[in-house]
Amino acid sequence: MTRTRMAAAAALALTGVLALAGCASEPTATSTDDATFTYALVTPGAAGDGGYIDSSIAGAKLAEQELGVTGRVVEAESVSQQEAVLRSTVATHPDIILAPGLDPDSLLAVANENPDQLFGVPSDIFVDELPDNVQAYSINVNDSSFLGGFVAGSLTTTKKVGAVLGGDNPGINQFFYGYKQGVLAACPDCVVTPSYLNNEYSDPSVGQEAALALYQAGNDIVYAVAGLSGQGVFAAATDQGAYAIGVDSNQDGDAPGTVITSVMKRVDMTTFNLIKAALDGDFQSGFVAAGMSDGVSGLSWDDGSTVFADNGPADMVAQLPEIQTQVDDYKAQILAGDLTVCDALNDPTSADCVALGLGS
Amino acid sequence: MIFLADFLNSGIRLTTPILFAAIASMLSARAGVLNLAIESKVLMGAFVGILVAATTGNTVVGVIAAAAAGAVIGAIMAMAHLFGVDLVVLAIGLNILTLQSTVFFMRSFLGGVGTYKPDVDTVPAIVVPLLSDLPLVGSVLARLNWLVYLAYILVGLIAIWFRTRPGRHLLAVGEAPGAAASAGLKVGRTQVLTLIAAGAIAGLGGAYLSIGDLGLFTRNMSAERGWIGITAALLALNKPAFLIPAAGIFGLASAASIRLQQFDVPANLTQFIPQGAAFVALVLVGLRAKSRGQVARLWVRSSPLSLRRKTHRPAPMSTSTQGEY
Repeated sequence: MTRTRMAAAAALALTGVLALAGCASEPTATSTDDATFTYALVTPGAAGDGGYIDSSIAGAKLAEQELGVTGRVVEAESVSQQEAVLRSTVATHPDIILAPGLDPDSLLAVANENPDQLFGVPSDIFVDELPDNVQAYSINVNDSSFLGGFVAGSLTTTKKVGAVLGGDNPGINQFFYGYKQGVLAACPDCVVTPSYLNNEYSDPSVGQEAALALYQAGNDIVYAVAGLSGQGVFAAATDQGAYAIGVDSNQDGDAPGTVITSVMKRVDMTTFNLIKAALDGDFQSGFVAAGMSDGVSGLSWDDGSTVFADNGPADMVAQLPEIQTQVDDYKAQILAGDLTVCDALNDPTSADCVALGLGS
Repeated sequence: MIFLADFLNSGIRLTTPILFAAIASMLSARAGVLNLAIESKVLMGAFVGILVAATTGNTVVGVIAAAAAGAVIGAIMAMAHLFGVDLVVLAIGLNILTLQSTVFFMRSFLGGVGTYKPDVDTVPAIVVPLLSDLPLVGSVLARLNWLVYLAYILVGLIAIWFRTRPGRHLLAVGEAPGAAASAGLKVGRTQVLTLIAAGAIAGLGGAYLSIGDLGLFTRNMSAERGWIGITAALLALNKPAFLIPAAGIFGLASAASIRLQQFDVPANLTQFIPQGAAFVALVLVGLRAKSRGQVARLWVRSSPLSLRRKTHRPAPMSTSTQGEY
């Protein structure tokens, strides 16, 4: 009885190995035989974060349409899965593997072991150096946050604005201090109050409470930099008849007439750029610092979003054209280098940041 | 003073879903079942609640549907319990299954990928005559709807119910299943019904999150509230009298971590408050459990009846009579 069972198990295992071997060799053949460029996008979480994961998927889909490439999205639900998922993705030999926001250790380990495989990081990997087969974008959002802050500072009637921030770390503070500087540029006697959540990026209930606290304290516009928790900020703003500023993707439509504008972090653009560079043979290893000047960060208004202009209260909408002109003016100044904005991520000790109270 | 009133109001609302989860955990524990699937019931309640409320346009129907959804998961657990499945393993599976299946349904059928935001009104707040007009009391009672009051009233009702005959039977089943069975009580049936009821109550906590408070559903919006509820129930020593303060500690700690930031209290410190509260609570529970062997007893009680019967059967010479029924 036991012997037959063992034999059956061995036979099963053997077929399994054969089947696996068949699977592994197949994609190699296809990717070398036909000339179609393939990508694989490995995300550190499920689609639907309303932030950079959705954005990078959108960028990959855009590349499929515009560049005629094909590929697939692989979701690695937790840090512990990422390395295994990366390895199994390498085994399918795509022309480039895109990995936004993955754990740097597992990414670099796999990249070092497979020097012939190209890797692209569409946003933020916090390491000192990269192997020759990795290109990484870091998207600076301080300049665009400045513009978002300027809009808030121009529209506030209580001279108090706030920000709900997912966590107290340099990446998130880059949003906040840029925003704060922008508010003060429009309204020097305004008070800007941050409210940090406990690294809760998917808890809208806590986001709502934080925003309520700010609105009850007299703030009338709140910048929501908190992933899905930001949805709670919009709920609180709608409830209190107050206003909010969105982040990452175009969130103007999430609460029409309440979200004034969104500070966009265009991970879709960097994803698209990486695929295009690899396709055209322009892939260069190393870091690429990109920001507003590269078009990978900016306000949703620049994309032609008119949701607030169509749904907002008349007295605020009436101010928009003038604010838009000033925003364009500041944008030109920043791009020309006449105005520097505090960068809490890369240069937290700069004079701009010290003036805003960072590090004190 | 107005700050204190707003803080209390915020704390009461943040406590509500935790309290529902804590009631569910307490009921299960008192019936002798370690119920770790509360997180999944809260999340499923939140999802089904807003889905049904959006479809029917009626929040009350949505809340009832949320309770029913939680009860269904409770019933699955109860069935498995009768078949002798290890409930701890099953609970972990259910938690993962619910998290992923809500995302799957949201993606496949509702269009929203990360957020489902139908055009639905939240459960309206109750305006208490006279009291709501008072300056400070009014602020404390602002934005509280009937689900909030229900959570707090439910604790009282269960405390009273524990003193009635069926309530005593439930406690007996949890305390000494063998003795209860030999006294003619239906151990299995009591535990099944309790698991279903606990599921329904946890589902109400989810309904509060989605249709009671926010009017939207996001991926994993329960955000560990089921687990915090279990911790709160442990901290309350599974006694109804301590349940509201125990759950309140977590809700108020969360509110404090948000509200104290307005007073230039460093964010690092305020962020520590909820975690610190959970840590202190668990140490207290651990100390007490150590002195009484409570945790070990809870584990033994939660292991499936049939398994225990099997382990006893091959040892007829055993002098121990504990656990035989």
